[in-house]
Amino acid sequence: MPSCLFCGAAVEHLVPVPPGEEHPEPEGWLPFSVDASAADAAFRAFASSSIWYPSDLRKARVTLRRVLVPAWSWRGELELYWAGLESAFTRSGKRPVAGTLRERHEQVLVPASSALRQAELTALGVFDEGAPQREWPDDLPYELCEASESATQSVAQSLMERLSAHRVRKKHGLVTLNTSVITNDLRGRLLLVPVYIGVFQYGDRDLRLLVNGHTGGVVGKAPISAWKVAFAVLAVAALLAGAALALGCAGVGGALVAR
Amino acid sequence: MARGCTQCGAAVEVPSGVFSTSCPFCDSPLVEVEAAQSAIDAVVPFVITKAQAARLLREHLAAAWLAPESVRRVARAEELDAVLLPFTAVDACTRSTYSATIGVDWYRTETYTTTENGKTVVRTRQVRETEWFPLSGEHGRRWFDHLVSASRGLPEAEANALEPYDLGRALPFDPALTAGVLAELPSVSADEQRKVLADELSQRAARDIERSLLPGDRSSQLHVSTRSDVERSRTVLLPVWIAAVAGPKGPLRVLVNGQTGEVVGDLPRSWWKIAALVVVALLVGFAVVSCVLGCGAVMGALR
Repeated sequence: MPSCLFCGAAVEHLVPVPPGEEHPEPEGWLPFSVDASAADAAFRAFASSSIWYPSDLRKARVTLRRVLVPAWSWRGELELYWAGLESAFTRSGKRPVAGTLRERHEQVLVPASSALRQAELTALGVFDEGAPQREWPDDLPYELCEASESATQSVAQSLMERLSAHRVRKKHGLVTLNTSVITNDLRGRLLLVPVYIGVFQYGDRDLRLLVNGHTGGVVGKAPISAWKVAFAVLAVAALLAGAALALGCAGVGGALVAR
Repeated sequence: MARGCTQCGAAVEVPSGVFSTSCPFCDSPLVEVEAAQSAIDAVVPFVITKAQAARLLREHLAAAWLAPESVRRVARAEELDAVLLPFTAVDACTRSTYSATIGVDWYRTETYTTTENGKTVVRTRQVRETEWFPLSGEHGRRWFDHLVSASRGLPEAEANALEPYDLGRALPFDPALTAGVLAELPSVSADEQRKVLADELSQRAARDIERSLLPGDRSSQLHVSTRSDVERSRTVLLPVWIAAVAGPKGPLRVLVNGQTGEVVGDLPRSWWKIAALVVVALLVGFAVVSCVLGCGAVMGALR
């Protein structure tokens, strides 16, 4: 029985795309530069990246499949007008400040299908848009584009605004921040971006893993080992108990010496 | 201006500024295509039918219970006319500079004495204080499809009350879209429209600064200077149902948005109804005061 590339669920019925339904045509597709073994190595490195991940995750069998996922890549100039409160030695502990930031945003990606969520695509990082291929790939599965240019434009604008606002907040150490924006020269191109999608089973859960087909960056929500957490809690409790005991003993000893 | 009907040949009087109407003798649509094509870019078709508009109008009038009864009982479907009115839809960018005084709250702990169970006790409470700071900065925003009335017959305030219209439903101008419906050519000069647009965008920018940009807990003394740049402008015909309702001092005009069904119109108020309302309020107030005073007297007697 075939399984879904994106979530690993068994596919019982394949539903054909209704004829005549409009799907925007991508400008091109970006070829993979990370091969399957490098993607697998990236997953192994990810599995070992935190002591809280279960040890058997490193040995988990994950089949990573290559998929071309449609995404709108937006670029443009943003004028961010901001005002907020910064910490200060005043009665209220705050003081109002305002400013303007003009910056150019490149490759702000917005998913054009339900295969990837916005947070996943953002976390996957950048793709090299240098050489999009025009000839349709025969051996690569791809998702159809569902979102139009105009539908993703406002998403891209708010992503740019959020990125710039985050920078302003961090730079000025603002407590609160309000913004208004103007975007100029906003251009979007629809591309199929290379992503490895893997599904691995941990306990009774199917977990999804994504690998950027250009950088090898891994995105996924790995499970936390309950045993490791329990052991850590016990270890901390034992340390605290030991410290209390030592302090108690020192107190009794001190009292005896004083007598 | 008299025009010959192309169907029956009758001479039809077409009001000035109107480019589409129907022949009163044979009901054939009459459209001055050349005049319209050079002046109109798009048309938003009617969504609300005449029957729906009449129902909405009746509901609106019925809900206006302070209006004279003679006004509330009218609004039959025959009294509604479909009109396509010209508006200028503008995409514009505003850049403003502002200065304001920003209030940031802080809380002072105050000690006070009070009497509890016959004893004097010391308590503390939090008292809100506000410190004020001057702030100046810039604001920028792009506005899409801001509408300005291009019809002399529709004052800007009335046009604003009719909005919003979904211009995403606008179709490129085609004489067939206006056939059989009274449709007007723009009658407000471009200069006048520019002035109205600049004023309205300045107001919108100032409101946006006050509501969404200024930090702190409160603000005052806001001064805004705005420059607006028009990026795209098009003339759009928008659907309106117009009802002439007989009022106590002459006919009243009530409008129904032909796309959303929003009903707009200043209705007169019945002075008899207002007087009756005041009398009832006074009687209720008098009854409440009497009751409170009576209860107080009874309690005093019991003590």
